Amino acid sequence: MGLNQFILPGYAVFSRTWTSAFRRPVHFTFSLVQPLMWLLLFGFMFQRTMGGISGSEEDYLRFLFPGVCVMTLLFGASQSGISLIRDMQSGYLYRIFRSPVHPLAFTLGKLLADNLRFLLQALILFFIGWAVSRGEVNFYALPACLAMWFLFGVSYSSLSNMIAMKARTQELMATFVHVFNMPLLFTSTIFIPHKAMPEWLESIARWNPLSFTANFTRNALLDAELPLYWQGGSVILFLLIASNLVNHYTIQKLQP
Amino acid sequence: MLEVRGLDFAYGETPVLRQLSTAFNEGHFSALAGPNGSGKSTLLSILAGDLLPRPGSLICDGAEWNPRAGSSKRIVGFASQQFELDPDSDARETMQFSGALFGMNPKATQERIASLNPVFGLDELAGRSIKKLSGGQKRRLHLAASVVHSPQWIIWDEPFTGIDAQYSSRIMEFLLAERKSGKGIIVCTHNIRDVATKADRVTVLRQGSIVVSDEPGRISELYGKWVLVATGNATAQNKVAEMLHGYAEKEDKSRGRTAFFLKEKLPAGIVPALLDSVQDLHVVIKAPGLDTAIDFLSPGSNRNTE
Repeated sequence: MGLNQFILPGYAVFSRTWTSAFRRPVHFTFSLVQPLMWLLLFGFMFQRTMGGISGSEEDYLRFLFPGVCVMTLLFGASQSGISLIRDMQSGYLYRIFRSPVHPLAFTLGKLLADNLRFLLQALILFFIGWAVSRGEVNFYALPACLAMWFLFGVSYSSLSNMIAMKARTQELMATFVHVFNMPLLFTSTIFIPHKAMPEWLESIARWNPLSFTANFTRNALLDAELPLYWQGGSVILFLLIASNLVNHYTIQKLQP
Repeated sequence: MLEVRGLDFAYGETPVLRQLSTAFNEGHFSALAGPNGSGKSTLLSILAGDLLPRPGSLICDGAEWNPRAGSSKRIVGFASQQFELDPDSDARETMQFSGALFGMNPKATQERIASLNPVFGLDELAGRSIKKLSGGQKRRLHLAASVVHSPQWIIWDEPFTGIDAQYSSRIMEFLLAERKSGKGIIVCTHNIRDVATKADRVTVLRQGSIVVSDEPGRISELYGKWVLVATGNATAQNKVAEMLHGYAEKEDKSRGRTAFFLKEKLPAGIVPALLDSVQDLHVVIKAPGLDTAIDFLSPGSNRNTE
């Protein structure tokens, strides 16, 4: 595996994925505007109610905005597979795999392009959230957060790509997005801290990769001391490895 | 040489290829003909590695061949019937991306595009979005992208559909030049006149099996028939069938007309008698040739027998 089979084709896939995303502003907007709406509407609407849970009204917005950054990654990454389905339906994916491009080069090129875009969106939300919450933030921890966001994003994108390769239709993919995302969101610590959850919900939140990522982000940026559930962290790694193994196998057997 | 041996393939419960065995030579232009559903596209897709034969084997130059191996992919340039273009890209990006997928650096890709430009008219398409190209323009781009890496085998499914006469002629000249340089050409077409005089071999499929595979001239000589095509209402066509009883070797009723494959040229007076005695009848007579031979062997193969 050298320049011809890996690097050049991999870069071409990266470049194409990156460019295509910005030619379809709907998805870019959807995965940016929706979390922003949650932050502004949800944050201001519930700051008095939730302020009691997090300490004060201002504290709730400060608590919420790192979670919303992670929510951006969730919405973006879950849509990752849709471009694969479009490529399957147009036949372009079969053209790609008729070439000697290594499946790993294709996967890495696509994941990298998709997730750099998600990081960009999350950063935009971060600065908006920081401005709205008007609290102190540890900017030196931002690189660590970016790394953690990237890991989560790649993991969830891989799951999305795996579902897409099996689903093959946008309708089924949309079902996955709706059926998975909302329960995942509301059984995590994105909106409320673990201490405000009933016991049964907290036991689910422990396994939720969103909780791990959101708490990591809060601990890093806000110098909080929230629990980092190893269960959620292990789910991130599991999704990353398992989804990509399945994808690699699926690509080998891909037929129109 | 590219060989297929004992190929079977089915879509679900529907068999498409049945124990098909044949060979294609480098430096030869091979044409596949047959009606819809005869297995032409499936055979090409298997050769290109899109579909996996079950069972059956593929042999290249005497050795077991896996079209999905990286080295195999480099030597095949396949263009399916579907355009397989990215609607979010433009024509230039499509060609550059196709080159990059085969590990070609940008300079090499540019040089190749420049050499393909006169054949496929790529300059005319240049920075235009795929969404804004006509069907014929998309087809040209699709074909060009399939050969950007100068493959040893060019395998095209219905390449001339939607392309105007000028570009069809240029593309045919391109294929002939590639053949002359030792490349293997395998083309599937419904319009056998596109390739009749140029192909070294024509393989006719019917219901997943090969009916004949030979030089066009020999097929024409052995199987070419006089054909009378009658168009009209059912009563008129039935009347014609009655009147041609004893003259016709075979009938093909499809697409609202009946084609009568005649044992020999009709005696003078038969056709005027038909036209006089049958109302609302339109008749066309076709002389023996490759197209009538193919339609005789596998009815419905050829758009030209109308």
